[in-house]
Amino acid sequence: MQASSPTFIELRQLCKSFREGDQTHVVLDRAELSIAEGELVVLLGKSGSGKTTLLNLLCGIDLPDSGEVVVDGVNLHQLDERRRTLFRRFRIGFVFQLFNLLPTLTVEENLMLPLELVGRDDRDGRERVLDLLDRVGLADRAGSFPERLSGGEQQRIAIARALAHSPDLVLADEPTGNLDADTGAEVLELLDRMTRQEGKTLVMATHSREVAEIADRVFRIDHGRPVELTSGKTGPPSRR
Amino acid sequence: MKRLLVKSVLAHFRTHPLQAVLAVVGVALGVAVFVGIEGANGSALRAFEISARAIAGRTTHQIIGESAGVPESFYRDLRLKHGVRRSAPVIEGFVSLRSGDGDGDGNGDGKDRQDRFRLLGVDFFAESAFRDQLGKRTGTLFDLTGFMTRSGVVLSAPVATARSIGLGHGIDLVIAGRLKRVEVVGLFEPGNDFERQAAADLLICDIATAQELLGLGDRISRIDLIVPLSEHDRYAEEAGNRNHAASGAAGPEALDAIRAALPAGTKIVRPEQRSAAAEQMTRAFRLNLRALSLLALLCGAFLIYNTMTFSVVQRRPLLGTLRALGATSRELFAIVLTEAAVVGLLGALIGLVSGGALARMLVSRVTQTVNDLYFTVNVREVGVSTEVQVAGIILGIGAALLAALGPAAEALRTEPRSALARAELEARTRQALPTMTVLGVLTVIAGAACLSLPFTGLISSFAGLFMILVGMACLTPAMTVVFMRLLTPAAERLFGSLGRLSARGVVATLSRTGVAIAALMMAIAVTIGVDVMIRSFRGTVDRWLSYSLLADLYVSSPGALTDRFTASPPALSVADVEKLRALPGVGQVTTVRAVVVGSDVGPIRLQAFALNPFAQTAFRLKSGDQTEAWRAYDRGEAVLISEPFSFRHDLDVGSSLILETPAGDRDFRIAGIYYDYATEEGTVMLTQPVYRELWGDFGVTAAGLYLEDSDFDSVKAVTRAARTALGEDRELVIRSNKLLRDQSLRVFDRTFAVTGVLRMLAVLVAFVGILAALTALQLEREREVGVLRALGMTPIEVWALVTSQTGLIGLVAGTLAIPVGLTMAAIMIHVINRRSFGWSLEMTVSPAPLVAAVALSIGAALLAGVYPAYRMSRTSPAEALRAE
Repeated sequence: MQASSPTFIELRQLCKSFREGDQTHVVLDRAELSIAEGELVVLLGKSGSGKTTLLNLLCGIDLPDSGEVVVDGVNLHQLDERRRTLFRRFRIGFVFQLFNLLPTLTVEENLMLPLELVGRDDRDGRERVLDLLDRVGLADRAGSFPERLSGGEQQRIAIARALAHSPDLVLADEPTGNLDADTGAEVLELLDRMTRQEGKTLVMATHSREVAEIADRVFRIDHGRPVELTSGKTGPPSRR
Repeated sequence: MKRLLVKSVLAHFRTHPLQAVLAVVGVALGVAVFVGIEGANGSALRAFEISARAIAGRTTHQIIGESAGVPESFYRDLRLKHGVRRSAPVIEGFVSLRSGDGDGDGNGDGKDRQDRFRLLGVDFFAESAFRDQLGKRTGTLFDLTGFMTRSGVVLSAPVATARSIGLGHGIDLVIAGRLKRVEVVGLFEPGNDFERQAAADLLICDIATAQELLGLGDRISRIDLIVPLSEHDRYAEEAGNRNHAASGAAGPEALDAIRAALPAGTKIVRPEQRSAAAEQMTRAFRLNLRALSLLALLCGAFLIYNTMTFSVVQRRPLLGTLRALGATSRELFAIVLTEAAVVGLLGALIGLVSGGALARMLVSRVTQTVNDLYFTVNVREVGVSTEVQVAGIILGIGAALLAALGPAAEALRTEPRSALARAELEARTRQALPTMTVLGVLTVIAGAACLSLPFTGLISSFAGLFMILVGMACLTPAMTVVFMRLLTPAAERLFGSLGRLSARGVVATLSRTGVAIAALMMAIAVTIGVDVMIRSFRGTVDRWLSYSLLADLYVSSPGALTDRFTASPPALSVADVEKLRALPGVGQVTTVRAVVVGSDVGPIRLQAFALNPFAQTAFRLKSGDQTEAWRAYDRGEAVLISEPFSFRHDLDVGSSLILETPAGDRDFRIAGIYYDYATEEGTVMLTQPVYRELWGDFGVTAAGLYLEDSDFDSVKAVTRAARTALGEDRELVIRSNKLLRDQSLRVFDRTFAVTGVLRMLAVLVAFVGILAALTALQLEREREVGVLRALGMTPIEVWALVTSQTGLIGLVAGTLAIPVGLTMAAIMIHVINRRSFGWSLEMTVSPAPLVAAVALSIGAALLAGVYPAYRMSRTSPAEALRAE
């Protein structure tokens, strides 16, 4: 189960539940997981199994009821709100199912935003943005507003945005969930290629078994715990 | 309507209670302002009518004097020579009853209070046929001897009980600043609620006591008559067909006989004419207040539009699903309109209750203005009539329905399974922008046309003003886009992406921010418009006072020129004026006799001046040749008329005015029109020698003293000397130039106090509007904020983003409000004021109030943004993104 590379993410006895009226719905129950740096990990599971919750805990936008989330040696649970936000700002990139590009900013500005937040909105930052746009094949759409783009194009921009500020960890929540099969496959290939080129750790939640084929390791959330399945790829992880 | 369908749609407001509350508050505030103003106006008029009716009793006709009442001798003649037995003399005046700490010492311990009472002087023996307050209602406790001989007064038992006053008690009356003690000799029990209300400010005394207390000499206010007329005769009398009325019946013949005996300057009127005249006199004043209250309702309508639009947008996925399930677009349209009607009804009901409270708050200000400008009225009971309540409910529901028409049409257009609600609506808004702009321009042009038509009245002027305001509101979204394009580079340079995000966000959510900005812009424009109008008005009056008050000292009787219904006798005699002229330090004396006389345009205020050439410069002519006009005036060939008089009666230089004099009708040419801001009825100036010759009245209402030295000590010394010369016990007011000017401006400020309250309420409505808009925006942008938080934006940065956006909304609204407010001021000054009162006002604009208005706009927007900014900064990204 443990990857050969140094441990980058570690979940320890992680518990999370939600209350619905009088009932408590347990989503994660003493979940344990270790992810090595540079790994591509896929989390499989039915809707409501806790995939998104796990991603939210990984980036610190949600807090566990108990247990610990340690990313690169930092225990997120022990950070206050502001430090968690700054950790996210500098270290994490996010790809959403519904793209979530900011409608009021152009494509280029959407990519510049994370760079600006980390103070890298300089000439180099702009060059990086243009490079990323070129790599996702949308260099000619820099000045467009998101609503003018197709779903697949929006998700490609979202991938570029997630990588713009060079985070160590990229989290993707159902990145193909809102796309047709062909476009989904293109986007997935792009995500895999880009994160591997940049040497980032990628944790992706999905309910699609096909997606699992590109993963180094695949986990299924079962009764609130990640259970490792056979890897989608043959052989050991080789992302570096 | 299908139950589940309705339930599924209405569940929205259960989950968004704040939106529902704000929409209801918007309607409630608008209706409250309308009901409050109408209630206060109505209460003042009703109080006047109740007291007029109660005092009239069974009187069918009254003989009134057009200037200083009726000579008492005529009453005697009427009864003895002409045998009119069913007649009664009446004196009416106002006194203040002092009550408080019981010892009546007036020692300034803060516990004394003064309430205005109507003093009614009557002849006990003639009374029983007219009124029941004496004798019948007082029972056996009435001390007739005390009433006739010891300055006795009678008041209602409930009023006495409320003030712990008993029979035989002495009470202190303050009359023209002097304390006079009278004795309570009887208490009457009001027979019903109407009598109780009328009796709340009534003191009755013997006619001789009233003459002595009010210093009326041998004059009485009027003579009440009972002359029964048949319906037919009454109709004929109203139609002015006296020959017809006189045919056969005893009533008309009796009236004709009395008319034939009337002394000069008196006439017969019916008591109800007083109330009608009061209503007519205050019409423009009330209409102006009503228009301002409707403006507040208009702001409220914007608020409802905003809330309803947003609620529809939020529910578009739901509405789309319902359409897919088979709900017709008409059904959805009906549900949205029903929702609006419920919001309108709830708001209107709350508005009625709070409007009642507002009416009580405003009534003292309205009454003060009515007392200052028109006639004396004492309001003890404030109520909102059923008509006003019904109108309030109709206006509330109507405004809500009208405002919801657009959103309901939006729901009507919902296509089955419509998904991208926001983007679709924003795209539609952008598409509609050119049409809306053209519509706005056309509305402004239509409004301007409405204002420029020469034959239109006041109501069409207000309609024109409203059209221009609505048109400007329609232009607001387009102007906002232009503004934001201009502002974005600066915002970006200052705040980076945050600045860009906030500036772009305003445009990106134009369907909502456009309405919020329009509502705030309207309220701020109202503030600017009203402020500039008042300042211009005040400036004009101030300048007018500075050139028209030339004398150093003014001597008059208290309230000499204010009340038409209880006209005072002349304050000074010719001998008094000579005494003043002889005082050491006095250079010249000018005098005026102010009376109400009959004319071919009805009763008019006539001022007969004796002016020296220097004093003539106090009157600046608007039309007419200065030299020729004064020459004709001095020769008594012509009169000068004030600007409002010229406007009211449509008279110009060269027109003729027929004055009814004791010597018969006399035709005067109008030689000039002068600026005058003293009364809205307007006045006519006639040279004093001609007036004296024609009317035989040598009295003087007021005198202006020009001193040789006008320093403070000289003014003080002459004031003292004048008091001594005229008699210490005389009820005269001697005011310095500065005091009179200050008092005049104080009256002016009091007049506009109620406007200030309305202006504040309009801003309050807009504030609620912008709060609703921003809260709604926050709800909608929850996901966007979730994304920003997920990308690493801290709560403080989110807070800064929202706050800068609300600040921008305030800045745009405030900036756009400047031209709109100035246009509104210009319309109020040059069109509405002219058509209401006929005054020429000089529009003056200083930058300070404009800057203050923009600051107010930004402040209001920032304040309204505090809660949404707090909510947004606290948004849990996990919660916001969970919707996925």
